[in-house]
Amino acid sequence: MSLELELQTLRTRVGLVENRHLEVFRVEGARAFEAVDDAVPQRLFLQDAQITQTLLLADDATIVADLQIARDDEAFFLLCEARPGLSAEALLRERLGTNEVTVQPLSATHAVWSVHGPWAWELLGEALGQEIVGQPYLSLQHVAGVTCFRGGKTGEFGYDLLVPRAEVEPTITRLRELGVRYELGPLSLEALDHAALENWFFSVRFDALWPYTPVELQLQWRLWHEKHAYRGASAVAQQQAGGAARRLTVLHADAPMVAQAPVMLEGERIGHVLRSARHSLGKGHVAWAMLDAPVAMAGLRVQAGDVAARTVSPPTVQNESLGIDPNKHSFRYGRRVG
Amino acid sequence: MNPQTSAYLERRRQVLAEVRDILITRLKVERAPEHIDPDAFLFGTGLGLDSVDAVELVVALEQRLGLKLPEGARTLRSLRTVGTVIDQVLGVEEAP
Repeated sequence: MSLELELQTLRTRVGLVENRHLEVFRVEGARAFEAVDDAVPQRLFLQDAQITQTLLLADDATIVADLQIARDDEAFFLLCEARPGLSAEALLRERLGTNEVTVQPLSATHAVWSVHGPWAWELLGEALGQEIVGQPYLSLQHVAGVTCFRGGKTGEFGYDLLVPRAEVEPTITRLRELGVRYELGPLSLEALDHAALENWFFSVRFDALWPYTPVELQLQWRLWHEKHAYRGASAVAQQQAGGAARRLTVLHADAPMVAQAPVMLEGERIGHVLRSARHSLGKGHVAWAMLDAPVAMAGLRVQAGDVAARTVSPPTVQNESLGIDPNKHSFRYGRRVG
Repeated sequence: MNPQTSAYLERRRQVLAEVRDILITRLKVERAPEHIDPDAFLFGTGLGLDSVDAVELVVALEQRLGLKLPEGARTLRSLRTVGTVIDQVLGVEEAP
């Protein structure tokens, strides 16, 4: 299936992908809370079944992993996407230590399959149980033998299913059979990352972002300012105190923009393009650019290489999922968003 | 820099400061102003506001700036990030 068709599926129907890049760990033990809390930059203020999003940093505050933490009673699930070439398990073990906690990688016993799209909730409600329909954003629940994490980085409804390996075949077969009613299609990692770029979600696989910090990448919401002991905290504090010299900003243009192209404002170079993509709904082209902080703002006419562009406020997609009310709308019964 | 561009940037910084102040003082976002990124998501992920907060944010902005935002500015579609709120105030063309 072409990327274009995958993105149409993701933006208008439902897509399914085995999420091999997402590694899940379970942390248990008398000091599980303290161990996780000490390891991460985010405040670990979670009720049972809630999820928070954070990062793992290197000493210089560059990002080495994208991390979601889900509380499951007194234990935690860690959903980790490490920078390619790095081991999520090694990163977590290094930061969590081994005293009084067990860190169990679940990849040997479980697979992660993800369902994304504006009608993902309806398909999963039919396949796994109607309790999925009311599951809050950034939460988990155990249902029909799987653990369902609601989150996603596409701007559409998104669910990661942690499935025991023995149950993968029947679970995915059922999803595919029922998915015919929802025009379910396959998704690739490339499609998920494309959607992330359009929707202003960080992806640890965007190598052009690797030299930068959460302060420069507008990811300060994934840090908690009262935590000072996590790895990279000193570099973050230093940059926050001085103010970042540059900031990630989004560009939109009618023509393709090229990575590394200089971004010019009234003849002055103000930064460069990091990553660009064609808009999945045919609305021109979108790019992420690193611009000088004083001018890293939406509403400016700029030049990205040879292309006339403008800085815009992300996200660059009005997601169909935003307009869906499960009490009113249904793909299966043809009650679409008006 | 073109004076019009300078004036626009200055106005955008002023509105950003107002939005940050409302988020902190009225909506109790526990962050320093400079730790609220200009394009931070407001709801769900990001700053974690809810739909009630959205209404309060718009009302507070209208009171402080002495303007009436368009009806469309009150929807979650227009209030996705700090930046999209500022776009509504300044009448900046939205992303596609």
